Amino acid sequence: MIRLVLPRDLAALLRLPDHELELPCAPTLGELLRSADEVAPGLLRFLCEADGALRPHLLAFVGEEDARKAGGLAAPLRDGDEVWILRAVSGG
Amino acid sequence: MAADRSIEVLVGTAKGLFILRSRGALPSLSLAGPFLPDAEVTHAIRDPRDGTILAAANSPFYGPSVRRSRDGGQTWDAGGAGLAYAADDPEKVTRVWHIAPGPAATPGRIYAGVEASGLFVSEDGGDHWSEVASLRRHPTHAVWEAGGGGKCLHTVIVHPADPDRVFIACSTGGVYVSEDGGETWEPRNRGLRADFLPEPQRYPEAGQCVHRIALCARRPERLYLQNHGGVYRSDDGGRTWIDVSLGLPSDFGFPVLAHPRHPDTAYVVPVDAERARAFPGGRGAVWRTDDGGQSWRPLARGLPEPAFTGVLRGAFAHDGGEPLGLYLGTTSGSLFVSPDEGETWHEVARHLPRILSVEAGPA
Repeated sequence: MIRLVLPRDLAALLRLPDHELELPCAPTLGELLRSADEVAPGLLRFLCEADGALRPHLLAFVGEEDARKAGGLAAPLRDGDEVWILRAVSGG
Repeated sequence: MAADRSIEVLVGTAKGLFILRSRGALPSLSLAGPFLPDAEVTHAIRDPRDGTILAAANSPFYGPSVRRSRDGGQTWDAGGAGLAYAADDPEKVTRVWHIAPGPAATPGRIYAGVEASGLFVSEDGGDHWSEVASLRRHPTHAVWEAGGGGKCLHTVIVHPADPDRVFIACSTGGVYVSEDGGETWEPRNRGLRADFLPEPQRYPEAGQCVHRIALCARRPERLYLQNHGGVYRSDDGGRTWIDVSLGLPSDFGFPVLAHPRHPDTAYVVPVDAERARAFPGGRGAVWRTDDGGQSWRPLARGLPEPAFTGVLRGAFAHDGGEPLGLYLGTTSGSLFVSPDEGETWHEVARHLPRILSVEAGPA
């Protein structure tokens, strides 16, 4: 299983009871998010652009590693990983 | 003073949506919000067909969406799917600018104008969206550019008696009209002057920086237009435009309103054309014509002076009432209400975030 931790405001937007989801292990970050979209419909379009890339003001961490350094959405996952989606340090 | 009437004002700002409701005679209004505080709300409107509030919510983190509330703003859904161009499209949908529910004859139909300029339609009340792709396929799309506010399709108007006739305005691009439900589009910019082009090219068929258009509900062939330079009137559904700017302190501005019952009456809010984009001379005023733009007079009683602020294209609305209530939101976060067709103004909210849009109607 993989623990996916979402920003609290996104969980509220999607009316999820909790901002943490327990999901079956997926081989990559992208596939994990696609399976999360089935549990939380709409999640994918808020996280990703039309071309599938993560939106520019979001970050994903797999454990302690920034996913950008591990292949982006192709970053490999292992059973027991913890994945965090974070709002970037930006805004105004 | 206007008689008692229940009015709701939806104020979209850079940081969420505020809702004001009347407590008796205007200008008495109570303020609630912010709703959707994490989003820039470029437009919000109550769909008169079923009472749903539709909000163009643009999150810096989660992108653009059309969110819906069926309980007056207390709760919001996540909006529908499909508000995106294809994955291989060179353009992206980065913001929703304007939402236009269709007329009663087309239940469920809603249009959304987006950035980069394009038009989407939903036939199921906003559950699913699809692009009206014929618009961006028009040969003149190649000359559309980004204006100061972005490359945005900011105005959508559905003809009140003919749901197949749709007017849009985008910047830069100009006015386009479809008379066949969005199958085909025709640019209607004849007579508009593009000050930002070299002298011999100042009347192009497309590529115009139109800031707003407004249609008179009683006589829909009568439209008014605030251009990047110049205020214009059309008496033939936008096929030709006549410059009616003479008498205004500046021919630059963003919003324009057409009186819904008096075709010769319209309102504009001139601002300096230079980058300040504030009331000319620091004197807050709305300008009104009652003769189709042949002459204009200022309506300033209750508006601020000195005031180094402006009014954006979506931030000026009427409530359709008799007398007509007018609602004006400034870039400095003040909302002014006129209960008497513009003769007097009252500040009913201040210190809101930058106001992007205002809509008003029966509560």
